[in-house]
Amino acid sequence: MGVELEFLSSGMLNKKTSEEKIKFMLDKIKEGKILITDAPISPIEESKLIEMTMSSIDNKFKGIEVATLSTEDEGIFDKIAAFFGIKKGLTVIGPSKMIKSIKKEKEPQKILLTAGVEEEKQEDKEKV
Amino acid sequence: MDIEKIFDWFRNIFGKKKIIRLGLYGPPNAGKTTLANKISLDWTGSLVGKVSEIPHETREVQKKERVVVKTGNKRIEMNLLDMPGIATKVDFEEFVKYGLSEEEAQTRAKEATKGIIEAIKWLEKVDTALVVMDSTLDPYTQVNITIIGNLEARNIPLIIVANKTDLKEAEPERIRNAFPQHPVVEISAKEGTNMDELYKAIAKYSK
Repeated sequence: MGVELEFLSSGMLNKKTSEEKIKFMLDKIKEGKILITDAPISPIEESKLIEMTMSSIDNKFKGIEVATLSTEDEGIFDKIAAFFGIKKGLTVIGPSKMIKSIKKEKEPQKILLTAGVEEEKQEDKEKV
Repeated sequence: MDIEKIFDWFRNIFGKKKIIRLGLYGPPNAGKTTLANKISLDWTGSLVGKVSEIPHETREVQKKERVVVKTGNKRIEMNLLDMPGIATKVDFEEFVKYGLSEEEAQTRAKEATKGIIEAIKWLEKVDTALVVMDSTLDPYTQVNITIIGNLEARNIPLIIVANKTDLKEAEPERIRNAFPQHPVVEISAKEGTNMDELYKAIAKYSK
């Protein structure tokens, strides 16, 4: 089973309410996709995402891995953009069973992600 | 009426807030309950909750009310709120590795997910937060960043607690480097090291 990546534009996501956006992403994650968006989700949205994830957990869906990168609001244009809700950065989210490890580094900012289906479960599926 | 009661009366009338809600946040197994127990033992003589090496031992918010902390000339009365550890995934199979039966593990996982939701809902209700991190682990995780980001967005004062400094692998400076914008207090809740510094920080930053 391969790893499926889906890129989502912030323009499309921002047309949705915060709750719709989280539900939309979570539905795709539950289908086994790893999502990459061209904007960071806010901490409040992240906490909502964790809440909705926890409500969805069962014996098959064990949760998510998530990491965001965002630029510091250093310049005046960054501050103005942030004021209007425009944030530069990205978000990577996927089902925990598909992401073996995800690690953030601060300087320089980067996300190191290792994806792949857990071997034991793959073997189990093959046995079935 | 003794002198302490008179002071309490004045605090009630003129004080900004008499009792603060101090929330202990962090990922599972950072030592939140060990710290809550230490604070509670120091000032009330009793424990808050049970500690375990199995993650998600705390699966509902545990409260210790009216804990009075005195440091220097300051006196803080608080309701101590030991939160379930926040995580983005809960896998019952992890608990089976610790010797739990599959049924016990599934029940624990279900309770853990509810606990995480409860801890997140409390984020907007605490007055001050201690964000507890394990000094032996990489602190720059999304869970820590999400907790801190939520507290910042709500203007809730926070103190980062670099816990487990008694362990040889502890590197609390990594926590300072990861979150230079916030006060960091290095402690060992298990050994009770540097607790006075933590009490001073609570008195200084609480609102």
